[in-house]
Amino acid sequence: MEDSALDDTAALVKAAAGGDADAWRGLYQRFSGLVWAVSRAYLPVAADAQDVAQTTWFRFAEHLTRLRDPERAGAWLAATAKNEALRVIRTSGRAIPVSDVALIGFDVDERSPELLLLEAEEEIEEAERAQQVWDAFQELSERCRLLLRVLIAEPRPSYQEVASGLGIAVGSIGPMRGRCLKRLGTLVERRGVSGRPE
Amino acid sequence: MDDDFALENELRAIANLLDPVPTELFEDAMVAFRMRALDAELALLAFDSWDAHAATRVRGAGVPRLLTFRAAEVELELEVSGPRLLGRLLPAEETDVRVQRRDGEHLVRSDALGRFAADSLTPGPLRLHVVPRAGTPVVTSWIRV
Repeated sequence: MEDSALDDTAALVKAAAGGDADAWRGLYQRFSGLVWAVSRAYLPVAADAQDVAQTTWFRFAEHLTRLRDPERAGAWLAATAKNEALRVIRTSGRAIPVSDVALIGFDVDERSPELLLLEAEEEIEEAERAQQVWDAFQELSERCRLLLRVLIAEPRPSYQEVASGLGIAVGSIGPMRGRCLKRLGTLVERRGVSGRPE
Repeated sequence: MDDDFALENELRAIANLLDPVPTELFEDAMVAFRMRALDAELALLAFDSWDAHAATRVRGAGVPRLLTFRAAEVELELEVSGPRLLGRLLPAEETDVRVQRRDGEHLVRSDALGRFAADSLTPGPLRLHVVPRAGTPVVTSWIRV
């Protein structure tokens, strides 16, 4: 399964490099969530993250024929997004006070259309639970928030891809993930939210 | 362990709902694909003052950004200050320089000293396409201005 997924990525890269637009679309479908998650993990302002993701896709297109490890395209994308995001942070003048939860928090409109729609569908409880879990997630330490934001990309990235997006060792991800999810669970419980759906 | 996965999956679903991938990025990616320079050698970014200077540096505050791109035979030096770009092609020669953006390109000409300029730049991806008299066309890596 894992092997065929890797081969598949290499095959998509090869086909896209040869001009196959469908293969390129396939790469976008596979990795757009990862690129966005990495950009967003570092950048609290959504517009900055969008700039970084856009630049990352332009870079990826120009590098299609030059990737040393086509099967590791996801890791390349994650690392590129990370580097571009750090470049934005370095030069924006908005040095990030990493411990300031209020500032690091994503600028999500609490009344996003999706949420309003949920409410309209009288799934108020679920929407509230979602918002509470999301708020608890913002309260996590910087390390945990970074790790989990990248890990929860859709589809779920490999640990190699997560490691590239964070610039940390692959081996440290499993243990960190466990600690951070445990911490998140505690924060959610403390909010006294009703049990998760299902 | 199962609990971990349940919470992770729940968080993933919530992120999809509250912080989804912006839909415009798909079109950006398709434009990026169509704009691959198939005939040109890639001049990679060799220096970017935004990487060299520390966090105190503020963007667009009158400090020009300096960039160097290098290909096998050619080097391009850029100085970007807000909406204005000054460039130098080495080795110097008079030739066409295409300033390529997401939505089109703008043709400028380098002088005998290899110097060229462009202004009214809007924020977004930018690269240069140059055809030296001798040798293959060169395109720089994309940067964001």
